[in-house]
Amino acid sequence: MRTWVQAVYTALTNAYAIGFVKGTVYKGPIKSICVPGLNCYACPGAMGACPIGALQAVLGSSKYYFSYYVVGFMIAFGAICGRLICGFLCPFGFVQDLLHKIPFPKKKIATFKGDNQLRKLKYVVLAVLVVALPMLLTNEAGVGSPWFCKLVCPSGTLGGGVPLIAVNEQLRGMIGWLFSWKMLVLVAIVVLSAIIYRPFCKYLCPLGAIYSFFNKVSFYRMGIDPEKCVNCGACERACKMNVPVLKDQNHPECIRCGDCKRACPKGAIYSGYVRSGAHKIRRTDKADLA
Amino acid sequence: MNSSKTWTRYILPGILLASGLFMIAVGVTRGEALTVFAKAARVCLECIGIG
Repeated sequence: MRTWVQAVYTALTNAYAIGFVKGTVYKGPIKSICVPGLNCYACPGAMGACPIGALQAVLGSSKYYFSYYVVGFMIAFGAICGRLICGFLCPFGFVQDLLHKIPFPKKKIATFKGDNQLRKLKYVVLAVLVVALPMLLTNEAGVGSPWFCKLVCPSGTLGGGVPLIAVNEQLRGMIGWLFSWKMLVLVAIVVLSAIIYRPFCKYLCPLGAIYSFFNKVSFYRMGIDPEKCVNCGACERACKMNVPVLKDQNHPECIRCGDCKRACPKGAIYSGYVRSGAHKIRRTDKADLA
Repeated sequence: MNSSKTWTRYILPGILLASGLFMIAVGVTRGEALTVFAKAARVCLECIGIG
């Protein structure tokens, strides 16, 4: 079901199909509204604004030092969902999920030495490339560049760069070293996504870094019913984000995909906006009682 | 449900959500939505690896 939600959401938020044909972007009024996931506004189909791109645009402008508008969207989305957005409402997360389903290599890398430390990198990306550099490195007009979009964001390359350059001859003539660098970053993440689950989300995504602060304080919560849990560890083995599910069901690294819930043989894990699901008897429990 | 759980489960998220919505409104009045629109409604050359 999650895959369907991701597919429908991606289609709805990138519904300006004519943009792919003409090599242009949507210019309607709703383009000023931030979408919850990482969805480059340079994508020809994009109907809304990428929150990370929008944040850099406002911070880098000569008029503002802080963006109430974009930060307000992030706080509102975070308070409602936490990183449920990463699990269900992010087009680039969806792309990585699909790539990870490729049956090559057969043995995927679940974790490695330094994995936990490398997870901190996304906070550095947020602080430096998204916040500091657009504010501090400005041109003569006092305008800063969107450094994360410019140097790193693979969503912009895949969703915006590739389709626009394929169709727009004028843009094709302007390709230089920066495009080559961004394609290299995109290819690296695509290849890694087949081997490691969601490498961009784990190590680089500044939006995931922001929403991670909200997992413990959002309306959407996950939890374990201690009366049902038998500490078998099936949830932790199923978790592709390597979350210690038994210890912390609202861990900052949890993207709330629900894999742990599906893996639990006792139906002990609940998730949602109200806790009523925890008291429903699942089929496995009925079998146990028989 | 004890008061600590009520705080983290409902009150704090409620405060955050209200703050977020208030900040969006403040941002709109400051003209930030227009700045976002001006950027988003044009082809972002930096985003696609050109600018």
